[in-house]
Amino acid sequence: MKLLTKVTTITALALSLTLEATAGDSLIPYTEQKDAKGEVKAIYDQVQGAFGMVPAPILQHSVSPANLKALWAQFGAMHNENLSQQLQAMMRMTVAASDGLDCDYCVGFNEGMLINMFKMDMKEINAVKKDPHVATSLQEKDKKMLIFMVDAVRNPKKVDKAQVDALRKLGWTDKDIFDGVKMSTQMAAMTLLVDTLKIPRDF
Amino acid sequence: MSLLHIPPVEEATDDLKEIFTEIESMMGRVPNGLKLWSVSPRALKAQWAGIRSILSRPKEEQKLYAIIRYLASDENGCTYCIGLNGGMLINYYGVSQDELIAMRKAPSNAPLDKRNKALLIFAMKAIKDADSVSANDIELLSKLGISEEEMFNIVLAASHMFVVNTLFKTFKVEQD
Repeated sequence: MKLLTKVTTITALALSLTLEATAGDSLIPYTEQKDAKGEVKAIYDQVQGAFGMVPAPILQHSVSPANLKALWAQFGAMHNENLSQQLQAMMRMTVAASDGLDCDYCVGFNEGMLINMFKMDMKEINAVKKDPHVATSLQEKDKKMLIFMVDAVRNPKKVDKAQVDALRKLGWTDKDIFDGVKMSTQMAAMTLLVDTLKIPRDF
Repeated sequence: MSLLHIPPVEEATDDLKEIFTEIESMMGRVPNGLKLWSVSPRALKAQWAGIRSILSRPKEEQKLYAIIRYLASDENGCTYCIGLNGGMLINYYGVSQDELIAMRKAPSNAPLDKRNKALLIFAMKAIKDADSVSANDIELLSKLGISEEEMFNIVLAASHMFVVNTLFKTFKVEQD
């Protein structure tokens, strides 16, 4: 899929160490890549082409081929060229590290991306997890979007018109703002799935 | 109606108009919640595909999913979704106001058969305390003849409500 060509190498670069996680480690075993057939294999192949690997949370969706298909369609629907890959990875890591979510898999996966692909240092990574305001490697425009995406997940009721207007003034469209929050909430939802089913680390 | 500018239905692209017409024919109107999604047309398309898939299932299954949406919204504190799904449960699935109150106190009070009730309790456990879910839960559901695909789907549906609820709370979707 075109939308993911830019991140084709991200995962491969991010994951310098691959663990031997198996489908049986999850509470609900999923179809491993080597055993996939038909539609599941076709989607795995597309994911592999886009990410350089098929992350375990995506493999987990093979339990329900219809939902695997829907998930992959969602990736397409989420594509927004204005939201950079580094911004998205920082958002995913920070959301996953939020109190009450604490998803080790998701934090580790995205940390790997930020270190290997975007050359971020651990000092900034650890600081951003606690407070996105200190994301020094992002431009002001992206930093404000990162803060907004994280705020929306951590305290959506506190989000107000002034914050949305401030993003507009920086050049973000309403679609960008919606897509950004949708991405961050989907990350939070994914952490619930990973933690519920004990999806194993594969990196 | 929302913190974001939502394009008026009459100004929607042909693609979106088609979806809105379908929503109207199935739900009688386009709720504000779904109008919000039109800010990102591909996202609306994907969201509507999911809803349509659930609305095409047997009525008892539709009811189970509506209860999950209702209780997950209660857990996530989304007033809009509590109202929308509570209304659906009363108007389309014959659930009484007292039953709604009772299930909010404990999911085990939901008016569902044993099998669907077990799925509901599992889904609520997942969103309230994912870490506490264990192999025992899977085994219990298996003994009731529930497939792993059904277990997975129910957790997915419950966790997806976090997406919907948070979008609505963030962008202040108004009750309609």
